[in-house]
Amino acid sequence: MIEVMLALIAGLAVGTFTGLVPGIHTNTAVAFIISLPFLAAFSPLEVCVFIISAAVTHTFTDFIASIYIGCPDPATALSILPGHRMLLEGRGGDAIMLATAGGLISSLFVFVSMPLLFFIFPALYSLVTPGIPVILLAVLAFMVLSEKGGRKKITALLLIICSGATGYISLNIPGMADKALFPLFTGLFGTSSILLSLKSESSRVNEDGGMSEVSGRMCVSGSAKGFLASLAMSVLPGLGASQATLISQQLCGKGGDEEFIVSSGAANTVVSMISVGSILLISKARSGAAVAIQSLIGEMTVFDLTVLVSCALMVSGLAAVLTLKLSRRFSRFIAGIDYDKVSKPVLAFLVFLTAMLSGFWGLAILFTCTALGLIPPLVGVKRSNMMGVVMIPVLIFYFQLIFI
Amino acid sequence: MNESSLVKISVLCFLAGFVTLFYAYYTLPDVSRPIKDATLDYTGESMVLCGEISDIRRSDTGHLFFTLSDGTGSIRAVAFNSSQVSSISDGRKSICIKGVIDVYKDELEIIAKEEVPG
Repeated sequence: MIEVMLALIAGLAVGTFTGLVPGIHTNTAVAFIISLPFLAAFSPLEVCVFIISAAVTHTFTDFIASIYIGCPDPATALSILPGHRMLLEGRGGDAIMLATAGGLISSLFVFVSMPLLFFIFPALYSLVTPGIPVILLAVLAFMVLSEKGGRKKITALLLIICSGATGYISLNIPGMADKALFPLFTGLFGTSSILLSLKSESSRVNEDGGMSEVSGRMCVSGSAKGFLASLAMSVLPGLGASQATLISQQLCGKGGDEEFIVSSGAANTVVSMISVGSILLISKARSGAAVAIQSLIGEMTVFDLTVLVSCALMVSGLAAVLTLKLSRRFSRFIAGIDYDKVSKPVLAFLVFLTAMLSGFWGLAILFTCTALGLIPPLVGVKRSNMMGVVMIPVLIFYFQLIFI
Repeated sequence: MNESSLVKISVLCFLAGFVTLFYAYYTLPDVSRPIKDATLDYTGESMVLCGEISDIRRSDTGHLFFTLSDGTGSIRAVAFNSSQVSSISDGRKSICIKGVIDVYKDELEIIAKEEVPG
């Protein structure tokens, strides 16, 4: 058991690093680390504890990069706008606290409901799998119809099509399948938000590092929404945290920015935990970390799952405290700084990072997506319409399966 | 809810996870694994394997050697005390044993510690 605890601490350290450094996804770090020869000295279960600890920690700490730097990954993309808004109001610490609360409360939900999921999950999976294209189309239709007025509905539809086409083309550029997501999401939700904040008049961040009191009931309801959305998305092949966040955004319609950030934090953590459970429940690995675990552990047993879920819960507790502490440091760092002065170097850093990680095509995708990302706030439609960037490619994949 | 209540929930999560981990390690019944899962990665680890018994050989010192096979593979097994696997002496054809995976002369084997219900 001591080895398991050490693996957990190592996962916490790696997840903190991948969460804080923009552009490094936990899957990338895990793929690199499990190829290291010294891991042969550890049992597969201990390596799996390390992987799930890194993956869960990443879901907490990546909100710091999303909210303070404006550099999202697919799971945190939609939370960036409300998070950014709160940052400019001097409430960046509150935004981090809300996302942390969502992740923490929802990890308790997953833990408590795991025995129930044993019965529900396989049944739900076999029930919904054949209807995925219809469900996706219904979600897209709902996104369009939820806009007010005919003109906005048409704009939303065009944005979904344009972002979807950009996503499909980018992901199909030779050699870009695993490199395109970073510039896609950074452009659509990151750099475009920063450019717009440069345009606004007052952009001095008045962060004092403090975190105010928020409604406990709102935190629980936001977490529940994120949890339910993630549960629904986890049984749908090809869908994941980004779609779960989108659904939870619709569920939080009246709850406002704060509840949405909570549910976004919840969705991010729940998907990473359930993706491991799904190895045992439906014999499918639903994330990069889960694929690594499945390849290491072979046939998962109830004992393995119990160990992994309890470690995920333990690391959630540790990662939450760590995220709150790190957030204080970040907020003190940018306190009183003119955000314009921070934004320009951050923009330059994101362009540099894209060039390093994704090369020429990455830059082309970043600039295209930044232009596309400017449209929703300027014309007054929801930014979530740009989630077509992943939904349309998934839809095309299923139509190809059906018709070709 | 404020930062300190979040820290309290964090502690609760950690403790709940720790208690469950402890429970899993010390009280959950052992779950058998397919023999193909017994690889070099598990050397030194405790594991429960079930399968058909063949090639039984008893040494002068009372050690019992046999091969355990299931649909996924086979592995050599050794019981240093034959009372640890009394079913073999009773003529049973299949068995579940809890033991430690080891390497002997470049070959994987399981050192049987006790017989467990299948």
